Amino acid sequence: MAVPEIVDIAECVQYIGKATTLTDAELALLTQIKPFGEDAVRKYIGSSVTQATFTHFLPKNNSYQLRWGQNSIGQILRLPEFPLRSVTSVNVDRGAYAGTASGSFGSGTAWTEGTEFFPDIDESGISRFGHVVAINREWPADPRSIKIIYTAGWSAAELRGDVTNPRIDASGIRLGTLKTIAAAYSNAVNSQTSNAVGSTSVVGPISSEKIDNYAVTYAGATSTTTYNGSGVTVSVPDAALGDLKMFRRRNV
Amino acid sequence: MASSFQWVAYQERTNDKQFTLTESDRSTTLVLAATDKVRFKLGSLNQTTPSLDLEPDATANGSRVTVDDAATGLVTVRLAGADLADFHPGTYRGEFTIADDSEVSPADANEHTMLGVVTVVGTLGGNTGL
Repeated sequence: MAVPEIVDIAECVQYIGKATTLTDAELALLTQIKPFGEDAVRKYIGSSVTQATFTHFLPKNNSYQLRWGQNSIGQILRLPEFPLRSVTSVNVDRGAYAGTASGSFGSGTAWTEGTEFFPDIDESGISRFGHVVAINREWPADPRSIKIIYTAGWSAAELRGDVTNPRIDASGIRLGTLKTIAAAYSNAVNSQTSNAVGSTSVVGPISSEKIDNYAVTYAGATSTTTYNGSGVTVSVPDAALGDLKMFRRRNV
Repeated sequence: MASSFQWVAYQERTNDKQFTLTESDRSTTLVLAATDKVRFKLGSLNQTTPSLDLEPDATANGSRVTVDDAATGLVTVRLAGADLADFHPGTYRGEFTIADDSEVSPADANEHTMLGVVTVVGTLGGNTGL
């Protein structure tokens, strides 16, 4: 199953203004670029964005030395995916080794919501930071000793802005994604145009440069028989940062 | 062209639009046989089931595809207002397909015809009818 889309291809076509003029070649390029743009947005935000159910083994081992049997990581468990919507199950087993140990995460290791932990849901009905709080206890520091199954991410309705609570309106993510895809598409088109095989507009390296009354001269093409482009840049453009920044997770 | 049409449709309103279907080269008129079935699909994102999947048989609310002239590929699509009621205003993907009765491998091959952009616009409620 493919990663769920953030935007539809028709929205991309509409956004770049080619609803009635799009050629097969342009649609093919847009279809190729689109997942790269969505991936760039996911990496910038730091989550998968679209709602799904995840099974994770925590905590990660981020320290140089493994913290076996050394107390805990505290009362807050920070999940990799956010926003957190619900927790299906939690199992804590210090000898589980990410589930590779025989008999790990058995029924006796289950924690009960409301007794041993609770999801840190705020007034919007979600936990934007993806936190699960241990009750009167702390989460173990043993790497991958916690198995947690949970649902996180933004629903399709929230990504469309089809919500009554503005605090869970995630339509800014779609706008930022459209801007990112459009910028990457434009970059790809320009790269193809100027660097195509046989193109006479290929630009070579700088042959001379003058600082005062700045001027630069580019050498002629070194070859017109191969594609001379250095590749397409796919990154979140400045114009999209304002749309997406609020959906990143601050270090709390 | 890969994208052939743009249609603005209004919720809670009856929307009719006539199309001339073409072959995949976007210029050769599609000639429909009497036993071919034209469908219009409306949806978005990675839906395996479109939000609307219209055929010559009308939906309960009256949405349907009507072949006006088979020899010239002229069809009319009706989007009934009630069928658009649950659509959030925005941009959707519209696609025409033809189940070609003359095809044998595969039988009744489902052929892509045209792809376009359909924008659903919200409307005001209030009085309707005569």
